Amino acid sequence: MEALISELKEEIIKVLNLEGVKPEDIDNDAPLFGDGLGLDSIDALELIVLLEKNYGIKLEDPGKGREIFGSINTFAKYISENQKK
Amino acid sequence: MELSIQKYCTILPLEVGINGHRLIDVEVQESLEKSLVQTYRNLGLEYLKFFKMDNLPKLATLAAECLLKDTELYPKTDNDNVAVVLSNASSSLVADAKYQQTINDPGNYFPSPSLFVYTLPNITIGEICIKHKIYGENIFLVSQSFNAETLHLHVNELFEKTNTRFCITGWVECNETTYEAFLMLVVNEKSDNIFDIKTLEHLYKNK
Amino acid sequence: MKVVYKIADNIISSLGFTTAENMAAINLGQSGIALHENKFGIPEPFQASVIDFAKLNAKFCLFAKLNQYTDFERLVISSVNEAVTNTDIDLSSSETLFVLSTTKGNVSLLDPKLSQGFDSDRVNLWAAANEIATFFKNPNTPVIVSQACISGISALLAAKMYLESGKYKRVVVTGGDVLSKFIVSGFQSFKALSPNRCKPFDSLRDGLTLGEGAATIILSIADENSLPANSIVIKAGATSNDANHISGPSRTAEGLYRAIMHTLKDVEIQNIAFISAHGTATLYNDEMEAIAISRAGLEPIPVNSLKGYIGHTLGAAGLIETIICSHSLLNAQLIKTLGFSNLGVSKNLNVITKTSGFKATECLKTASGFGGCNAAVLLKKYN
Repeated sequence: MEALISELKEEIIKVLNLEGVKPEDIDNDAPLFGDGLGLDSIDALELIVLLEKNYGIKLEDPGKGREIFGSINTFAKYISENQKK
Repeated sequence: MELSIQKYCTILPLEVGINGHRLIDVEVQESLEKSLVQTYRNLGLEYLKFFKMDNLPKLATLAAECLLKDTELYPKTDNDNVAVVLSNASSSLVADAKYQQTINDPGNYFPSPSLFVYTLPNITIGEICIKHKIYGENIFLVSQSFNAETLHLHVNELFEKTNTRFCITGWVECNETTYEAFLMLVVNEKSDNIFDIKTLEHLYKNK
Repeated sequence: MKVVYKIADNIISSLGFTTAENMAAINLGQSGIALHENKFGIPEPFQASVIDFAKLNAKFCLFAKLNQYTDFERLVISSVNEAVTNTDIDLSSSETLFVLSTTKGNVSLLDPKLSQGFDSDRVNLWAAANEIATFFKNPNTPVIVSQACISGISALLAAKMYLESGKYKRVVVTGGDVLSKFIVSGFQSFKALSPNRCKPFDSLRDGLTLGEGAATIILSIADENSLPANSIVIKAGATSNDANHISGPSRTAEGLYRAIMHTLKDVEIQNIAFISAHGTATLYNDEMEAIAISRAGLEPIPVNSLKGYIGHTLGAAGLIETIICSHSLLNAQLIKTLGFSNLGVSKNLNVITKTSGFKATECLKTASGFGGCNAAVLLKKYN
């Protein structure tokens, strides 16, 4: 899980072009959306692509996105439970 | 009505100029994207959304920032009497080509929404309006080369026919080999640079 | 007072190749939206309103060489060509300007499988525009408006200004967009497409339906007292930006509200017969429009969306839908909103559900697009 969390943080920073953000800056339980990292609706859609591209998980219901991407921990948990790659 | 160019800004890969005078130099970089980022740093800007943008809106954001700084419209106008009329030759082709890469290979087919959103040239206007809270008339025109006649006609009519009192207008071109921005702030006041076709062509040519 | 009015028009869509064919289908409540599988190399099936290109090409090669032009160019040229048929409009005059409205033009040329032997420069919008203007021997540099889904209305309003300046006597406002893997996949990546035919303003709406199309509106200018009978005048209009987000509509409908208010500055609301909204049937767009309409005090006015008939035709939408509005005004008949059953927005909109007559002589057409842009145009029937 540690390795996944670390990898996830790096991927998110890269894919979402989060300038000036380092993996150690991201708290595992902090909200990713809203005030947290300030991610928006386009970022949420890009994370859906990340799920499929890197982990083979196709999100059938994009509405579940807010729940899954709530924090790094919820994100990592979802991946480890559903990973296909 | 006496339209004039209150201020203008030019941005090229190696320099930024205001009213024909060099503001800053930019060191040579390995890519156009890196040149835009270095320009951002040299200007001392702090706007994290910049890093999510494609090259074209990056360029326009820098140009608008330099243009509006130290004017009564900075940092935000919060008004719809400011119009934005931008033009270029390549539309959003640089972003288009990047997006195309994400759908070319059926075995690696992952269309990217954050790339797709920039495949419209007017997103560039959107980014400027968001940053400077501009609600006014806006349009994006495409032409093979800088077209002073059309820009002049359009901007002139906006001042005549709408509530426009200020207009951010010019040329913001980004392609695979280079970029150039020539952005003007047009106002309904007398000043040294009359807003007419001859002046437009002269200033563009000598940027 | 001089006014800008329409002297000819054409629509090409899934419903037909002329305005008459399109209006006939719409009056019968027909939709051109269908499910497409294995189209454009898109892995999943999708709903869309597509043009019968085999038929278009068959008509095209009667007056021009097929493979000298791209699909997009053939579509727009066909539209202009049909618009001027049976008129004496001289498109080669230096007093006539072409204004082209499109979001993606020849973008499918970026696909390595579809470059069709054209020069790499041909992917540029100016290259396509030059082909179109040159085809009709027009000597002026065409003006190209590329502004997402408001391109059509934006182009119309620009044309109005250019005519009022006195610089031109006629303006051919033409535009279109052709669907492609590029466009469909992009909207799919935004999860913006409904798996079914779109349901504008409906409580069960779940996304938009794409369409391809082209339209042409030829404008002229004359004194309002010397207009031909049954003229449609472009009375007023405005564009505005939300200044909020590059893809999500403003929650307060700031841009659309301002565009509407500027457009209706000198208008008596009781003269407005109907509003033809953008109505793409996404959750956020339709709600935003409801807020704008309500803020502007226009809730009681009958409102429709035309997207259920021909889908969202992007760069052609503003033009196609303005033409449909103009014929709705001329026939004094409201057009119902296909796909709508139950109101699903927070304001009490008067969504048109059946055709009925009216006496008012003006209508409002609105559009909104990526980049936070919004536009509104007021049409008026004279004589």
